[in-house]
Amino acid sequence: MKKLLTLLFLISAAVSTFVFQGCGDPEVSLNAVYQPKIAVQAFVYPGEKVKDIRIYRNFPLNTVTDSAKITVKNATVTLNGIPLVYSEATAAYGNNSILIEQGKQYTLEVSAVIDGQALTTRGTTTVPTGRFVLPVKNYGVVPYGEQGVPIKLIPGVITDFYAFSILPKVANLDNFIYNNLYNSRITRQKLMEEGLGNFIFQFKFLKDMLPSTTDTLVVPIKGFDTWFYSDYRVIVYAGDTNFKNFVLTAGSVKELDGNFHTPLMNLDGDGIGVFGSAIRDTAYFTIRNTP
Amino acid sequence: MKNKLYILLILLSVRLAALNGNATVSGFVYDKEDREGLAGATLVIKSLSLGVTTNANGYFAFASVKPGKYTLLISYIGYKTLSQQITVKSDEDLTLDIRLERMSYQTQEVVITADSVRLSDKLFEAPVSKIEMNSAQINSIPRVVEADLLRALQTIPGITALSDFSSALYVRGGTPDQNLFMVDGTDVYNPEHAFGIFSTFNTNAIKKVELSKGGFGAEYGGRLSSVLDVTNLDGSRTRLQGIATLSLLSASTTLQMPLGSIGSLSGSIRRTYLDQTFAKWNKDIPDYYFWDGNIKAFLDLNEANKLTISAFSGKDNLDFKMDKDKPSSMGFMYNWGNTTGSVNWRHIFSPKLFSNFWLTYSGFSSDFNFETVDFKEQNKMGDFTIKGALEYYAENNLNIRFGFEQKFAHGKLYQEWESGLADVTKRRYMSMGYVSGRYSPVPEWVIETGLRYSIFLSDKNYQNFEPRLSIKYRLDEFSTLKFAAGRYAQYVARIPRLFFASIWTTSDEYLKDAHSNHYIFSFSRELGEIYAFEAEAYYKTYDNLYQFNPLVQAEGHPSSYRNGKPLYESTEFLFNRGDGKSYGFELMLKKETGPVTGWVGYSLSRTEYVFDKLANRKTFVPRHDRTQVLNAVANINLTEARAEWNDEELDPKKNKWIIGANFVYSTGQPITTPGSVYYSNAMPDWQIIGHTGLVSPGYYLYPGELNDFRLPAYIRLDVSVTYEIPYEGWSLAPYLQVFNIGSRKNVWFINYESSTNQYGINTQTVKKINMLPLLPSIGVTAKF
Repeated sequence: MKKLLTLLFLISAAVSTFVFQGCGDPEVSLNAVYQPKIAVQAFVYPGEKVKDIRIYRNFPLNTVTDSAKITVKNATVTLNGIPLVYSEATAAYGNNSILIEQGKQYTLEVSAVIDGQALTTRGTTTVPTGRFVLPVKNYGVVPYGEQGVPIKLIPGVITDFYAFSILPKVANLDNFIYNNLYNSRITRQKLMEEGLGNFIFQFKFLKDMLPSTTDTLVVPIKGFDTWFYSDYRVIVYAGDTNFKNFVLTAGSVKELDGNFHTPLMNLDGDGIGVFGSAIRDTAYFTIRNTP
Repeated sequence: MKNKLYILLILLSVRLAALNGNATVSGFVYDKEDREGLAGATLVIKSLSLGVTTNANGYFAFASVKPGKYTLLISYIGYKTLSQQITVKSDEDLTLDIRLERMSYQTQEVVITADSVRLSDKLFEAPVSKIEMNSAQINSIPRVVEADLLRALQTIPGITALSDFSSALYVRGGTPDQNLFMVDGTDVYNPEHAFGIFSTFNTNAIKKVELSKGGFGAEYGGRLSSVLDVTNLDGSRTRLQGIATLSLLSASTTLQMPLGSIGSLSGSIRRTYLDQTFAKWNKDIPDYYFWDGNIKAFLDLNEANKLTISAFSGKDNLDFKMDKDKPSSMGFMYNWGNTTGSVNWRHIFSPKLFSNFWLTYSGFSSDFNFETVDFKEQNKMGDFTIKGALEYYAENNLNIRFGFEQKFAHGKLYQEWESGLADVTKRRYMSMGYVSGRYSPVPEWVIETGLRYSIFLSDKNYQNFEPRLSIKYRLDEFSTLKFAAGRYAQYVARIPRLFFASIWTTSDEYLKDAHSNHYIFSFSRELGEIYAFEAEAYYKTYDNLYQFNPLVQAEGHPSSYRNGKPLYESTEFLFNRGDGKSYGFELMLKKETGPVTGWVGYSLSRTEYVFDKLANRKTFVPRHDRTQVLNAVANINLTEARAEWNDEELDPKKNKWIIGANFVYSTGQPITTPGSVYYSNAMPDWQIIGHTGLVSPGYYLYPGELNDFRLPAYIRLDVSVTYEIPYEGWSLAPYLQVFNIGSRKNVWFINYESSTNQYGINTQTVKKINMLPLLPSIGVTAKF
């Protein structure tokens, strides 16, 4: 009896403590160590001059950032030892005297002072060789529907990776396809609140294509790639390994269970981002409500 | 050499027994009411200081007893201790059929007398790191809507859960793929329903569960960390019995009945009805249900031969549509499930030689079809197994166990998408044999040694010798010291997928066999005659751990091409290889009798990994590492407590109030945080900074150090109230369960949201994604 009383008392005390402990909303104070990095987004294309070499900086989490201030304007940037010059108009580095050649190796070196720290990074790309063909450049007006737009591609570049960047010319709340095939619960109000970004920018890719194939491939642009009644452009890239690794891993560092993993990047030292190369071409089509 | 020694000992003991007129006393211990065999019952002949426990089938044998009259004490938790007089005659083996009577409430509190088997004896007999649970104990732990075996086991020290959404078991730093699940002798793959939230085990159909957290004997193998051995009910031999449960999620029933005089039949079935209820009212809830059922027939052919035939099947079905009103809406169909079957023949060659032979099949299949994006997947795996386990009671102080297993496994994974396909079909063969001996030179010492040999045939063959050792020493009347060590090998690896069934693969050219060494020290002590105290320290090493490689999409290459599409057929890029270790310390105080039952457990542990391609080969802790965990589980029979309070005798027909509580505290889980944010885009032509035209969101997160941040501590209290109404052999028990009664917002993971306004000002917000809030549920259980 005495034992039982003691036990019940102890359990009551424990339960009270547990109830008290088992309430609440714990704070998460992130103590992640921020390290300044040079963020590079740089691509070169054979037969083209060097332009749009973008040098940014990273920021700590949970900050408010003005995108106008993310560009590092006073960096020292060289390509195979030749300096690149910053342009205020494009907010990027370039050099009109360098013409990119197929099969050639290029090394990008960047030095910059960010948050008082002198940082350097370096990356190398080998430009793919060959050429691919888009037998149809303009698909004209295509009615919105399940059949989509079949983009034809005849490969011929020594690469195993093709990316398709799909972008509407005009994208706003008025030309959004509310009566789409997939979700009728996307409303104007919802779009106003959440923005259009997730609907505008679409891409697809083909990976590990048989390098020797010259058969015509058909890549369907489907309804979930086009959310606006608009003219569209599809830029097709035949990218190098750096291009592929960046496209496939940089944007998906977050796993389903919320954890993160390090992406594949080809920049040494203090750099993150990508320095890659690709051969590119463009196709066009227009999505209308009716033919 | 060791095997020869065993054979010599056996021959010697047989010879000696034949000379001295001693006899073997053997038999089965059954439940008196339904004649279920009781595994783990303790039998003691005190005057000879002899003690044995029943095996998984309820069988026992005193190999050599001198002629004479003895008092045999038989005890088992939840049953009245039986004292039986036996007479052993010279050279005449004695076979017993012992039936224990279940305790009524008023006699539950153990009163230690000369006729009792002490708790300390049971603690001494128990193998190192082994936990036993029965259906009643599992059902008494407050739960998330549905009683669940795996979630019940998550309350044991040394076993942790990753989140509220997972029933997976992380045992002493091991991962779920390192746990061997067996039901009636059959291996089970992916024992999970509802995206891993519930397990496939119907708790009402369970007779007994044994979980070895490490240091297990040579009869078990194939996994690195633990063995979960589930035995389903054989079925009542005396009368029709049943139990039915109705909860917010599911309805289930279990029936048992005699099969004439020769055996019994039991079966259970369960189905969820979310698809017929909430999913019809709320369009955001997907059409989902699962069902499972098992049937088991037990045939008592004669004293020496018993046959059990059992089968299990379960299926989950999900039809997800983003917009249920739209036939062409983005959505997918996913169904998966297990099917198992086994035939078990128990044969007693002689009172000293008990055997079990199995023929089993286990299969898992899943089918996923995401038509909108032209993706489909079929995943199948299964095995046919022939195995045998024999137990030879050579002498009172020497048992020899030996066995074999031959497994024919097959697996298939087929995935097809717009621009590629994966087609992996494998056939594998595994042969295994073991021998182990349990020797007790004096009553205070028990030494068990074993050796397991396995060979695995695939495109690269592997073989392993796995020695095992266990030593028990009785310090005094109350206390026991134990030590166990062993080497364990594993030939399978798993790709865990959140909310989707895991994909299993086996050792091959790219996936080496994995190994683990266990070293365990244990101390146990009986306290105040009714409390069991156990303290255990362990150290485990791992070689060749394999974790899914999240970069496989970029790093992988096809092995060939089919119809111009890349074809992926190997595991070459699928996993990252690593090594690791776990070490820790666990305490447990347990009380299993009286109006208040339960346990308090505490564990202090650490797991460290080093992986070839992760964190520059620096040591890191995996996500399931929990430094400290405190568990407290209590069940209070208020009616019985009140009767004891008033020194009254409890009327078993009286209605009863039972309160349950489950508390858990654990150190927060380690995660990788993004160290910083930077601006970039998937495609070079997407504009990041607003000039003209369309500006993309353009921000990426760059991760910090691997798992170097700890989320806040996980704390949760669950309670339950059950009102049991007995009526002429029936009982009805409505219950209320409240999961996370404090509604603590335990953090599941951190989400990072970024938004850019029209002026190009970007704001990043760190947001917690919480686990389950307060979740009440009601239900009713009927028994007859």
